[in-house]
Amino acid sequence: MFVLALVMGPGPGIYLINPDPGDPEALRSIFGMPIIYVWASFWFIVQASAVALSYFLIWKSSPESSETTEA
Amino acid sequence: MNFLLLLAQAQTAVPAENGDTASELSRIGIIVMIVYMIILLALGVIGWMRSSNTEEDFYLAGRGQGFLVTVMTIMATFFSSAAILGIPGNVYKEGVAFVLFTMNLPCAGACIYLLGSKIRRIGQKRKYVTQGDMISDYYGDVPAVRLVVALIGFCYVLPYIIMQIKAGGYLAQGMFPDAADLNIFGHQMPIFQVGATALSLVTMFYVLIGGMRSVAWTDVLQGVLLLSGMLLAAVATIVALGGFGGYFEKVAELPPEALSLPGATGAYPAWKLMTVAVFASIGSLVQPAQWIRMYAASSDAILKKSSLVFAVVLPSCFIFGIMLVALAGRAIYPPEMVDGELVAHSFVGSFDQIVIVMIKEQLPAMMGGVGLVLVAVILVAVLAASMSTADSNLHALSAVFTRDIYDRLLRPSGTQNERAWVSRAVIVVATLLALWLVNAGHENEAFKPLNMIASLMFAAIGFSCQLLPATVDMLFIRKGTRAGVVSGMLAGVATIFLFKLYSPFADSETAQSFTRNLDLGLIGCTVNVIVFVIVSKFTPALDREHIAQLSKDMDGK
Repeated sequence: MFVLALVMGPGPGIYLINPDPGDPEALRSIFGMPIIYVWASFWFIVQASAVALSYFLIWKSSPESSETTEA
Repeated sequence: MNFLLLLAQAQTAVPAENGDTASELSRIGIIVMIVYMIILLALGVIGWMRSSNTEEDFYLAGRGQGFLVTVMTIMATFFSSAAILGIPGNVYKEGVAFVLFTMNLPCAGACIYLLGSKIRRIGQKRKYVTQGDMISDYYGDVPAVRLVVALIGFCYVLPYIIMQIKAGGYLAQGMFPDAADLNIFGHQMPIFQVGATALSLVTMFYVLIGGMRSVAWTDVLQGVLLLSGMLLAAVATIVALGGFGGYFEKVAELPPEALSLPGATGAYPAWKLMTVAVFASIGSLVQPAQWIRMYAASSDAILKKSSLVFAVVLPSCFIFGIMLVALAGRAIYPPEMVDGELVAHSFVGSFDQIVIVMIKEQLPAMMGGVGLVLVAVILVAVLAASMSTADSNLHALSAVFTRDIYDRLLRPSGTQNERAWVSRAVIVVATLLALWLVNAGHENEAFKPLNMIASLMFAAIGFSCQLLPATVDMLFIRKGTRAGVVSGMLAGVATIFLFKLYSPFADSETAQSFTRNLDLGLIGCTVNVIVFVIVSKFTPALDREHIAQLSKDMDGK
């Protein structure tokens, strides 16, 4: 999910919606904001959700140990 | 992260304002600045009073950092004043394409836990202080490993310290453009020198007396200022444009080239942005100061929480904060083409001044006296961002020199007390040397040492990335050899030098075609990994029992 967000957000996936500067008909804005900005915001939310899911479901903190060894 | 380099060019050409507002802002600015400096010094003194006189306390605050301090110090160290100057400056220059740059932040956030937890566990167990301690312990404690790791660390921290001090000078110029020279013991000090000197001496003072504890506590204040400054600037901009409706109308005026990739000057194709998102973020996280912060966290749970907060809060402050200011700035003050080159609007002066110009223009008009205070606070937030980066790197420089060079190579028989004095001497000498270089460079633009260091900063994260293959091998793969890691890192460093600093090659079409489309750190890492793998195949493996023991310590088993 995280890798997908990287490929779709700042990666080549952006070309799915990237407006051609030479095309006057190209869709440049959506909800009043530049389409690339909205796209970046969406994939950022996906990235952040992936980290949140990992935090709650995958990452495990190891039990702490007080034993130490000198380097 | 080439935008970081904009700091080096940060000519704080703030447009002239009407006299009353400017002088009022200068007065308020002085008060806010003095209050801020006093709080920093007080935090430094409190940090010193709470510290014990041990190396572990000076470098790692006794390895007992809690959640708030850990997450704020990691965030404040991650971004320099580029957060308010260089990054919005690039959005102002290139348009919305550079907003995608912020997607490196969740990546860095995730790595705080993925890399940091293992680094913390083994660091705690084996009393590591620097990254050199861990890497050389893993690959066999020979001088070559430690030296190469220290060299990469120096390549990262030195330019950062110097450029943040330089930014302090420019910020002082921006805040007090009409200030007269100060006469200090018969020596005339222009406002640039006053700013650079104040930033460096105050930073030096609290790092010197309180070590990591003071650095981390001041980072909390500086981080809060930085994040709130980023959001505050956005709110002010939207309100000043008449709410979201007015904001959308303004942004709709952006020209087509500012609304698509690869940006107005073609600098950011998708592959470049994606590789920057991965490599610049992780490279910034395995630099010496951040590595020390992993050791300093008191538990895995704290790094886990820090990871989540970093991945959500910092990018939000960019995407829904400071980036909005830069986009509006591009519509209000569109850059101009002069002799075929895109330059900032004449009212703005230089690209990285867009946020400063926007808030100085909008806030006082909108909110009167309160607006002036807010402008001063946001300007101090930029200063805070500079100082939080300078202090962390100064502290890391002292650790790397004392632990990796002095203690292991120059004088292994030195006492802890002696090393404590050496570490403090490094902080003083590094600060004064950096200050001298900055002042000399300001008086003479052709001053070569400073120009060389400014070029080095372009490559700093690329250099830092060369620790990635070794880090990934130690933490997850565990198949590399000592010869493999040393030759891989040297090959990676040489590649960065070749592609960025050795102009006969760096300026060639071949090199340019690579650096235009890919992150510099990735280019270095690719060569690094190839050499690392090949040399590891043909050189003696590390002692399996030694690796098994270290692996247990890293995995917390």
